[in-house]
Amino acid sequence: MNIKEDFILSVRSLLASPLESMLLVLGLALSIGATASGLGMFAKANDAAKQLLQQVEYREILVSSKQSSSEMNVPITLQSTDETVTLSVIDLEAALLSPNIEFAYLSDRTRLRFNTGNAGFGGFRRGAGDNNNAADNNNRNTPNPNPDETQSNRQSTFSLNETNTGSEHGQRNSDRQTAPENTQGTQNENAQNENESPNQRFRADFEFATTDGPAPIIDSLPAYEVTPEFFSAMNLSVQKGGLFTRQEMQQGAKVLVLGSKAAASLFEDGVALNREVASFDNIFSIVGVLHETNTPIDYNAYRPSQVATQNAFRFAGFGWGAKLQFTVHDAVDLTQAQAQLTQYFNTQYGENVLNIQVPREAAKAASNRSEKIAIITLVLALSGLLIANVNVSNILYSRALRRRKQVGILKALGASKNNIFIMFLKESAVLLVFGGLIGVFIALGFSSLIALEGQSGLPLYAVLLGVLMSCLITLVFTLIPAIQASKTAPAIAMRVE
Amino acid sequence: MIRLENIEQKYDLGEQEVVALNNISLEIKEGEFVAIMGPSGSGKSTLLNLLGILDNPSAGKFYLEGHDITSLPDKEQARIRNKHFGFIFQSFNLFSELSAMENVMLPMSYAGVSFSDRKSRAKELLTQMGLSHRLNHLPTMMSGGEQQRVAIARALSNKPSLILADEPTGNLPTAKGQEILDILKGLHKQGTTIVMVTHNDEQAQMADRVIYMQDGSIQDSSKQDNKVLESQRGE
Repeated sequence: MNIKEDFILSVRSLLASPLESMLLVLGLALSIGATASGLGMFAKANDAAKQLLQQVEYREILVSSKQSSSEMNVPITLQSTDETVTLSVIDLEAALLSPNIEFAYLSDRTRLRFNTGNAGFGGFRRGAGDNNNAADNNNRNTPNPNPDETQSNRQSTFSLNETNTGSEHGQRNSDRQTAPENTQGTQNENAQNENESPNQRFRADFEFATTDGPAPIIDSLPAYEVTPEFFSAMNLSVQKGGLFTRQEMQQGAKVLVLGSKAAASLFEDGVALNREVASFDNIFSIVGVLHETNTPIDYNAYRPSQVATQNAFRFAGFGWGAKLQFTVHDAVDLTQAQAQLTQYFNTQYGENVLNIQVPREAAKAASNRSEKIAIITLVLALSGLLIANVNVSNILYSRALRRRKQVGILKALGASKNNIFIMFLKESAVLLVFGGLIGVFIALGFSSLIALEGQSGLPLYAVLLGVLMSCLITLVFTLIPAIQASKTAPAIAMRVE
Repeated sequence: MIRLENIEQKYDLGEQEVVALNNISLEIKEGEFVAIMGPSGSGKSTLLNLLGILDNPSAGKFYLEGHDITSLPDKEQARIRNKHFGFIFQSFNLFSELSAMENVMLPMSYAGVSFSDRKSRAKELLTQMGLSHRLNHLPTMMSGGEQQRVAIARALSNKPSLILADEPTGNLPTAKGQEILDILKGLHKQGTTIVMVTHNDEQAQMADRVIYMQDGSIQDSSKQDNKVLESQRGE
């Protein structure tokens, strides 16, 4: 070990004024911590934006009718139905126009309400986003259900239950399938299920279907009516059971595929697969449970799109909320694909009838905004660093002034300017090491605070980079008092105070 | 050993220019004991600063062993102070944060002496000064006389050829002051050159030569010194 005496002198000088030294360390710690956190947050915002834009949702083009996007709350009777465009599975063929489009699917946000078996659940609950508003209105306008027919419907659904217990759902639906199958995927006007004739549907709405199995413990789930391509576009697969096919969709199969969280929460025992659940007039078989994705998908239920089977009701507004979603493989192709789709739909339905949106643009704007906030945070942190450094530099300078005599004696004893400069720099380094260590803890504290909210913490590389950067900046600021101290005239040693 | 030629020292105090030393020429020979006397403000401290290269003159030449050192870079001047000069101050100027040992060891660290050598040399010097029982004491725990002896040990650490003492007994009671003077006398006997600033005529009598300062000039010196000056004028 070869600790020089002037370094011992430095350390003991620091210890001799503990309050001042602690203030210096604290100032350095806070500024280093703030800078490291600021840089960490900046990096995090950047990473998050990049990650977000990599998601499938932001490689999509959404096509929806104007009504579905903006006028959901206007009563049906006030709308001129001849101007309404209802998008259907046929429209997905637009995907063929552009080689950039990888997947095309139809998605329609709705909500599944269940008969939980509660006494209070006798009436018909309306939900704002409920796709069955129209049915609801019609239902109230015709308050004359035929008890016999209702009964027969119940029986038919019961018989459906019995056939649904089979594990192969293609097979179990075959006995009630009357319409010819259409393997081309195009919609057939006659692809109507007898069980799903409009009158029956309305009548059935009036009384709820029930199942033999256990009642669900939650009264609703966010649900989407989708075409099967949705699962491929989102790269979803089942952990149990299976997905539904296009054929089943066209047959109007009452099946559900549940997200993992939705499946776990539906019944008391957490088992959902191969069970049945009643919603309005429908009894759904749960045929599949998706793998966990840690996205909202986990909480959703997916059922086959009804648009395929409801052409007769287009005029009445069924399938309003349906959105066509086109996924491109690479985000750079979005603009071109959007242009091609716009051209197609304009010729098909006329200009400005449909909304053709690219969510990526909005997401980009949002991520730009959060990036700006991160930049402001970083700038504020750097200002804090600057202010702290100016103050630290100032305190070190006054320390150097107070120690002029000491420096003069050291010079008389043979210290060169260089020796003094390095001695003061070492002193700053000692303060920096302690300040830096506490600063790292401050930054990691912030990081774990963010991590508590279910997100990942600040990226470690950015935090360490911030510590390194702020230490270097601080070191530059401590150069000034060190240079000043090294210039002290040695003759001061001779002065008698 | 040291030769000063026409040294001038001016301080610029804003509008006023103060002439601290005026045309000083002086020679100090190897092994000499020189006392500098004079009233306050006569420039004797300034002269000592110049001799110790703690200050550079405004004009004139400073020869050390025949080399002009006024234009040497800071690093070289520091090296000369460190290796060849030993300073003894009126107010001791020990570092209160360091023990007696560490105070003595400090100049040796600038000379690049290893830790173990520094330690043994410091111990040896302090023992010589009769402070073997005070090695790890802080200066504040020692008497003035002890502190000055530590300072002398520190001044001797790098075996200097010149000791510059600025009123070394000024802050000490007479008895303790005598101890310090005895040590200096002993060093002189061993061949060390000593330049001492003093107010005390008795102490000045110990010296081979006394330089009287008045208003920044050398007023009167011993005959020997006058001869030197004459011989220089003759050159």
